[in-house]
Amino acid sequence: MVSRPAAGANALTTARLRVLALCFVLAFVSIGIRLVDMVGGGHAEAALVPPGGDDAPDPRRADITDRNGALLATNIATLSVVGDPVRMNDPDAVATALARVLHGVDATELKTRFARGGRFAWIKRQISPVEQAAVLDLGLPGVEFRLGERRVYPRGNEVSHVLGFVDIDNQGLAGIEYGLQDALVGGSELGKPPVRLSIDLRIQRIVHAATSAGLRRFRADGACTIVLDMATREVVALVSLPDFDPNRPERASPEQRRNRCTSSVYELGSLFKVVSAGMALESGAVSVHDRFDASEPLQIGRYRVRDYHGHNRWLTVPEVFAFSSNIGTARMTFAAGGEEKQRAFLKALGLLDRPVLEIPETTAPLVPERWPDIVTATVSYGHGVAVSPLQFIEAVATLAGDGRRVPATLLERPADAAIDGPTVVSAATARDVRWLMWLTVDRGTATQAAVPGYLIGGKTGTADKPTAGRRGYDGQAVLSSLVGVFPIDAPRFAVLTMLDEPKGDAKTYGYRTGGWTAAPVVARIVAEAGPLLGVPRAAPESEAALRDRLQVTPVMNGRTRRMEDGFAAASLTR
Amino acid sequence: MIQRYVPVLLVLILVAATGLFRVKYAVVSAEGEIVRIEREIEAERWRLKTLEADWAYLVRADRLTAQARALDMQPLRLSRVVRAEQIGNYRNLELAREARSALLPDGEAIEFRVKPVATFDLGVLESGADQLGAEW
Repeated sequence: MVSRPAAGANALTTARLRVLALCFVLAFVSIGIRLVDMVGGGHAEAALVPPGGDDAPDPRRADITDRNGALLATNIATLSVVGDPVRMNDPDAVATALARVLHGVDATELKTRFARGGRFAWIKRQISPVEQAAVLDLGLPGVEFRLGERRVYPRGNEVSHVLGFVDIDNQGLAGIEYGLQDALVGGSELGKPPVRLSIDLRIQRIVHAATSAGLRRFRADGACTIVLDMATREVVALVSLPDFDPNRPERASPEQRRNRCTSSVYELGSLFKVVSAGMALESGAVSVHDRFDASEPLQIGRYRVRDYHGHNRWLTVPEVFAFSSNIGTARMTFAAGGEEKQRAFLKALGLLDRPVLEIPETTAPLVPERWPDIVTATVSYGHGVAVSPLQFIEAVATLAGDGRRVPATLLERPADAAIDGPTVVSAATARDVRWLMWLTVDRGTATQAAVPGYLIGGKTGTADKPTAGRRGYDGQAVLSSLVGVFPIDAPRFAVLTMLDEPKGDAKTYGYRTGGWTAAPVVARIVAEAGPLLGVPRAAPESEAALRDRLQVTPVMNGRTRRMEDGFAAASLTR
Repeated sequence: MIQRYVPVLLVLILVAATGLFRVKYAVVSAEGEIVRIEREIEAERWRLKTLEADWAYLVRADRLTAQARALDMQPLRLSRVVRAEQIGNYRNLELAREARSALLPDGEAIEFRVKPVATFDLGVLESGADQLGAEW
């Protein structure tokens, strides 16, 4: 028989048991909570973030490639050295030691940075692996590495003006890097898909080499070449010289950074006769069989319009164009309607407005405030309105292409993208303009742009440069250029080369005109890029068709003369 | 009655507890593995980007041009691109595809083909085109 405890003792025991049970329950619950906590997820490691680190711009940027996927800009991982002065035994000694192994770091400056207080100080950003090893060897407490991203442009100078560059925080400052900042920056863990440019690196290289060679040979101050796909209006190549290495933009002078193709405007001279011819032919008042009196200078008020390649006789429209007659072009423009028509036509081609492009370096054209007859005359041969080369090649693509005005782009246009724009000239006018351009290469001022096997059209320009800061023109400095279209029977590409202040050499007999300086550059580009782009050799029947048009005998003022004969006579007197 | 089930329940509890802990540790190690692999992927991705940049740097124009020059290579020119029909003796190739039958004097019927000429006449190429742009 078990003796039963007293009622009081029994109650005490029960209470003790309850307290004990509660303790056990609490212990198990806490163990359980800890278990759940441990199973529930990993512990995030505290990242070393600088003060205001959350405000720092996102350094991640999408890659940039050319239209075939060749890498033009990418990010690579780099380390930066950061310091926590509080954890350093002797900040001054640390500063001295670091300055010895890190190139470009000044010990005194570092000491003041450490002494400023706070627990974060940049020591050097974007160090090399050698420097990393050197810092690790020092084994200093309070000195750490931070993983960062650095923008690199592996192609160096080749695509500099299109790409632009970024600052040390990977924020775009120029070119596509600035223009597409929002599209490029940030991204998911694996980054945004690369941005594809319209540039074809293969062609860009050819253009870069040819333009550089032209610049060197003619000792020009600068140069610009653009290749435009006439069907899609994609810029296939764009080179502005002098250029710079986007990896080291701080070393580039403003002159190197200047994009002469888009952000500088020039009075392009005779190149504008493509526009004037297109306008005259489109007006319906002038046909390719008309003749204009270029026998003596054209007097407008107190100004006289003269010809550079003077022929001193009546010229047919093809002759006016191919021999680049200022007098003939001015007369042609007046015959087509003069000032009002000219302004409307330039407006329709977009030559009076600031062009739209994906890069910020664009400039509005310089347009005269008043437009008297003399301005109409000078604008017809390219003086008085200053436009950027890119803007002008867009206009040529319209006039010698399908007649529609479509803005150019530096981004790849998807194959199914609708390419549409207002029609500026008819298909017939465009065909006539191409024929005039072909004649200019075949027997006019641009014969040096000819490439055996291809049918090329072109127009030369040699413009007097305005004197800086004053009215009037510098008689010495010229701007020589050539705009070409090839193949002329089925236009695919427009090429514009412009040389700023070229100097003639012995081989050019001292001439520095577009036909002597810019034309060989274009010829070289076409000869090298054509086969690469799969442009086939011209069919003999295409050339025959172009030549046949010369056999027409226009009847004017009771005089008949085969156009072909006119050219033959002109060639003799040239 | 209940006492009969107690050992069974104890065994079940033991099995369940063991199972739970095994699963737990499996999850923990899997998570560790995921983190490790993610870091590996990230590192590989950076390595890949660096290599791509390296490659792009190695195939830049001035370097390739120097190498091509050392190998005595020629730029692509239109004069080197011809359509098949432009190649001399192309007609012979066409003829060679067709078998012709003939009867020999002894009455034997045979088939023969034209043997294509081995050398191609490249006379269709204009001379002088190669010199284009070569002077500078």
